[in-house]
Amino acid sequence: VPYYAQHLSDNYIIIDDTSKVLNVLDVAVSRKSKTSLSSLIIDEKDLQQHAGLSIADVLERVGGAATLRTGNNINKPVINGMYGNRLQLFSQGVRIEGQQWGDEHAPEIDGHVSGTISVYQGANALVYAQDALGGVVLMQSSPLHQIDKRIGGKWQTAGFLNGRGGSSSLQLEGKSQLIKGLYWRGQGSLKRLGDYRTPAYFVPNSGVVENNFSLETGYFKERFTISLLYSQFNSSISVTPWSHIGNVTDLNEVLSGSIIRPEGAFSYQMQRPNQQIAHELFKLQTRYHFKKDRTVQLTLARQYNLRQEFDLHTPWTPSADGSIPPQVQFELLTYSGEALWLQIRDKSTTRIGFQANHMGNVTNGRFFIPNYIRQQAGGFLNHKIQLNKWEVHGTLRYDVNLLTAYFRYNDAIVSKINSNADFSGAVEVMYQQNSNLRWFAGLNRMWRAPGINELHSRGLHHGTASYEEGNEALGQEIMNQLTLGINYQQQKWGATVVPFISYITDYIYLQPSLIPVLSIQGAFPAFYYAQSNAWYNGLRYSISYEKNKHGIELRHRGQLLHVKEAQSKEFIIGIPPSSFVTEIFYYPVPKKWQERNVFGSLNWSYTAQQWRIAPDREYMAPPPAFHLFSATVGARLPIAQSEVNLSLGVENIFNTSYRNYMNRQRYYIHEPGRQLIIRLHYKF
Amino acid sequence: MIKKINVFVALMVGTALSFTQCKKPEDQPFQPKPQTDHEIITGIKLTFTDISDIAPVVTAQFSDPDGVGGNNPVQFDTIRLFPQTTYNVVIQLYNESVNPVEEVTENIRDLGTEHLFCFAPTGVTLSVTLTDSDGTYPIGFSSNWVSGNAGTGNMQVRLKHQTSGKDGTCNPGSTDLEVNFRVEVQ
Repeated sequence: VPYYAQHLSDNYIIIDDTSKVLNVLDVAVSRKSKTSLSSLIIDEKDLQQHAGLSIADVLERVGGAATLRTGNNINKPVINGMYGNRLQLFSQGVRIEGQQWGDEHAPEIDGHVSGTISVYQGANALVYAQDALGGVVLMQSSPLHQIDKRIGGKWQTAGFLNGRGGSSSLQLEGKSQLIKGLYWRGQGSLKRLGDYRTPAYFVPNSGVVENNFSLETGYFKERFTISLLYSQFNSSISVTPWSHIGNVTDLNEVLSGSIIRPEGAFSYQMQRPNQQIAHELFKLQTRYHFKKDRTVQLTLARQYNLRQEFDLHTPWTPSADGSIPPQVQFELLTYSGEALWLQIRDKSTTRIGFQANHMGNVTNGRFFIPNYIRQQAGGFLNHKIQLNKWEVHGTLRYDVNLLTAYFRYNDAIVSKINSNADFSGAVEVMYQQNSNLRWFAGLNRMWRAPGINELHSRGLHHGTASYEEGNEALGQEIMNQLTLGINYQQQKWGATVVPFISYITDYIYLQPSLIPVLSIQGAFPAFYYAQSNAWYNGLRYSISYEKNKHGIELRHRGQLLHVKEAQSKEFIIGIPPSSFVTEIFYYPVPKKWQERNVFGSLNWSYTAQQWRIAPDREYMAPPPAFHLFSATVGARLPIAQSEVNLSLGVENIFNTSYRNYMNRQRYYIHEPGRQLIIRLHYKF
Repeated sequence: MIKKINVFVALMVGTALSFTQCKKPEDQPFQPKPQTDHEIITGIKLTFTDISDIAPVVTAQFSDPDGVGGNNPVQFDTIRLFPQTTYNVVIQLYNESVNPVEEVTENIRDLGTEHLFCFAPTGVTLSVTLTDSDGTYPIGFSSNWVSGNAGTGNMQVRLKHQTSGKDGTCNPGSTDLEVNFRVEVQ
């Protein structure tokens, strides 16, 4: 019986689980031989083992994605070298609308996801968004109706020695005894870390505080379901003052190496500069199952996002109420809706949907982006069919994007409108040649309208002492991508290779200008948004050896990216260097140990030096290659019948001192030194 | 089948309606407020007074009212001094992005324990001594400049923001202001 049919039998269709099964492949998590060429699923067990980390860190450690960092606490996932405006994140089926355009803006998502994280590209990604050139990342908690206890839950906590803090998350869930079909779930988490330590020094003002909670309830009646969700994310992130530089003279002093960093001392205290972020999501979802195989789903959501940035300098004029105002504040309010029609048959699935959203932003304080309203609407048709050894999957979609920015000139308000509309589509074919060998080919076209920062930003970046200015004349960028894949399985061995070639027409990027911008703070190198054609090519591969009779399991994966401007043939900067990860797992075979889920693992990751650079665009040569080792041991504790799992981990075992090309603060600070982590997971 | 489609269409229309309803009240708050940053320095003025009252009083100004980017600075003077003369130099700072123009010298002086002016001449002999104090260390709003022989060069005027660790040297902190004035001593 196919997995999705099991869900059908109890009348509830879990859309994401459905597509998950239909796309039974996975590059990085080949442990379960789920080798997908266009998707990646991180399951609950993997998430547990990485509790306390951010979404980007989980994706990097489990899924082989890269991460764009600003210090240690601001992490953005990078897939195929793409991030920010080119990678869309979904939480509980709703596209997270935060300030993702900023490199130093982390996604507003609690890392304590219970359920799964999926990454989709190609035909599946187009079901969610047309502008996800790098892919979509979906965070989905396990379905409410699967709750089988009157009251149950789990508690997970993680302690980190480096940073002297940790995180704790409590989840409670249950089903009502009074009203059959009524389920509920509540979750809250806390995270607190102080200054972290590199092998040689503490990084001043580098801590983080996070408080999140969510409440969810749903009513399931044979054919009809309705659910409500409210969640809140609050974080305070300290930014090290070392990364705040006034101008190029300051930057050159840092780059010359003349500044000696004292060892310093640990502190929990949050000082300036820092960021305060709040995100609120309210979701209403309803489903109706017409027949066994047909469902309609409606989703409405409201999101509020507040970002406040406090500079190193305390402002000299307090607010009217005496409080200290942030130097810049963005307030974003988004309404979104989706109507989805789904049909699942033995050999085929069809999805038809319409999505629309309305977003408004208000900026206060220092100008960086203007106030704006963005309206988007789109519709899609997705179909997947299985014919003997063949599987064909396609999506066709059309979207309209309207962005109105408001400016004040003297006392008049001037609005500027950018509108974009286009088709996108994807076709994927999978061929199961025999029980060992599978082939895959996918062709897709996606487009993206320029974002608010690309059109209208104007201001300084204090982390890089550079001036950035948008370009109102930008049009949409269009990506045409070919992905190929081969998956070979023989007994315990498995191997997957996925090369891809993408050509992006009118790729939007920051072009350096030869003329610096002169201001009272000095002369700044200036960057202006421009469009040109680009190649985004790469290769991912994985090799796996499933657990043998001695309890040994191996995994290895690697990825390479080759990203160039088409005309100038210059490499595009800021692309993750090649990386390779090898992991050995050991599960002791004696029955007694097996019952206790005893395991040990050793992880070796190698990150090459990024040599694919444009030398005149880098302030500093990319940092050298580095090797990192980590180890984990874990077991289920012998406490009655309850499920209490404990694990101990060491990261950066050899306390290696290194800098990371994907960290925007690499000029100023090293990466964290050795980290000891203890994790406890209790399910009741 | 038709019935089902009708239900679907009804749901769709419902969604669309709920959107237009949501949209209306939101339009108003998104009208822009004046996005003025009151906390910026856009202009600096140096006033040179010969302490022996022989040479005339000279001023030199740098002014970029719209801040970083946008239009080029509207005023960028050359400092013209007499040779072998000791000048008392007073610095004033302005925010010209607001109307009327705001003098912010006192705002910075109030935060004197976190600020320090640094002067670095190149190609011309000028020795600078800071003459004011934050209580412990000088700030640099007033200073004495002693000119050497005739010649031309540059004077870098830099205001360092030293949130912590002000020690009288230019090393700590980040740069709030940096202007390279052309200097003519003749």
